[in-house]
Amino acid sequence: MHRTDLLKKTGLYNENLNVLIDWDMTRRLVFFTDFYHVCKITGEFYSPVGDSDRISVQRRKDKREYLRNVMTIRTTRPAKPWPKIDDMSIIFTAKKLNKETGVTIGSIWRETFYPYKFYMPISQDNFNRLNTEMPNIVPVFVGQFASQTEHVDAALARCEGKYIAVVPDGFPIEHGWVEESLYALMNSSAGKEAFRLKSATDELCAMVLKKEDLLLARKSFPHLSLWQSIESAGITLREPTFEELPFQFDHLLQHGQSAQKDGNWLRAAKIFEYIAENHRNELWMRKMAAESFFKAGDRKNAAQISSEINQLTPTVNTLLFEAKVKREEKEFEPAIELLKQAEQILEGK
Amino acid sequence: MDVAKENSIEKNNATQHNEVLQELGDCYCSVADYDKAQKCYDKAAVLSPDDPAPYVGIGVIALQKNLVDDAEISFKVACRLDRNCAKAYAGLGMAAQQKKDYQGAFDMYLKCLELDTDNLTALLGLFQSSCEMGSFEKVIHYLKLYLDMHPADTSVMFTLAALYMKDGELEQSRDTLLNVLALEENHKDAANLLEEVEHSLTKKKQQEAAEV
Repeated sequence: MHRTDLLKKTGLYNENLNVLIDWDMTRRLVFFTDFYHVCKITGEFYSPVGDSDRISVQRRKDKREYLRNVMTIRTTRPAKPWPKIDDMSIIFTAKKLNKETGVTIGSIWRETFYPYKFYMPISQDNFNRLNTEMPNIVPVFVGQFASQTEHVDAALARCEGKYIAVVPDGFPIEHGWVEESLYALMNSSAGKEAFRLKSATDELCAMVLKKEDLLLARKSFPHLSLWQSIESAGITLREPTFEELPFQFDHLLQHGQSAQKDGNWLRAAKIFEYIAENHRNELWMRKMAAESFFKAGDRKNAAQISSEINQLTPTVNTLLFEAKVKREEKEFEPAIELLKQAEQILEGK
Repeated sequence: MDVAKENSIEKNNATQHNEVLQELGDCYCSVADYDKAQKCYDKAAVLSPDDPAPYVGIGVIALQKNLVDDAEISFKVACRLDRNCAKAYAGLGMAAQQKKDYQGAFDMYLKCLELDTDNLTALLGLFQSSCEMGSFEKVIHYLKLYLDMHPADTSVMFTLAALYMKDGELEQSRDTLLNVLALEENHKDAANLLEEVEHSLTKKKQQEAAEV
């Protein structure tokens, strides 16, 4: 549910998309309003298992076309002003244009979720050679022999974003490559801080910082190199700590799931319990904890959690865990009742 | 939702359903409600035709009903589905034992224990078959393996002590009995056997001294 006037800001549904149309609209709404989280279950969602005629199923079959839709959505920038999103500018510095450059640009296009414009200091000749369909590229023409610092200075003069990411050619781009450090920067209460990007090394350093800080550094120390000017301006360059990373729930969930994959069931169980206590999704996480405790051989904990869940919203797994423990304790009748209930769920009764 | 993910959910549901039916069948078996147990195993066999577990269950029911030939067929099906199904070999051992084919039973129990040293049914069956045939060498090996995993199982420990004594390994028998009593102070059989073993040890020492 949302107010009609928001549609004047977002624009109507994008008819060039043939899948994920609702996600596109939701994403565009985020630029103009905050979402209110109704923290209770308000309905049930049913969808057919396996192949079906749902758009969500059919339109994913052509992977290329599906990707086109996803990339269009991710790079959509509604008209400004954006009261709820601060823009980011990516300054990409490349000494020369080669195959590797194309790969890096493609990866940035594919892996960047946060709204951005891509500023590319480049000579006119090289820009004419650039063959990409990537949207939101802003060419910044520089001389053929300009240094990296000159590249940054030229681009900086054009950047609109509140935040600036400086990325050299060849930098490894992976999932969350800029968002993790950007989130830390957005939430940092300390002044004058820059955050290294994920996978940054001394040889291949990339960072994100506030535009005002970078401008100050460059204005105060224009004769110094980019990194020296940042240091001289008293801007601290550091990596974000785990607690500063975004999507804490997702990160912890990933840790829990990889512990499961490694067969480290007890660790997985403890992570899921921690998530349930600190990051909501109690029911889901406690079910995962019950399963992990069970596989770790801690039947007592598995049965206790399962039993608590079974009082509220029993699932096949939790009923099965509780029944197995009851059977081991030779309480056959209660075990049978639990298993009958599990079978009913499986048969949709 | 991803198509592959949905397919895996479907597969997971079938696996879960099979597991629930198997568990339910085992519970019904434990309360001797064999008709309901049979229904569960039959349904599980239809859901997962490549899974040996329902056939093991059906075999166990046949054994309980004294239908040894039917039981044997069922356990053989389970073995055919999975050549490493330890429970199926234990079942074949039980069927052979009921037919008084002790050598056959011994071989099947042994095969089971090679796959699963933790199978108490096979261990007990091996012991019983050995008693019938009068050979205990292999039983001792498997009892020791079992105790490595269940160091507090005083029943198996006591059996091992009795076998040591029968083989003339008096010191080992005494040590094992002392372990039983350390775990279970009031184990009367162990205390009595210990008395007997210590008596035999004293006698043995006296004989050795006399010979010197």
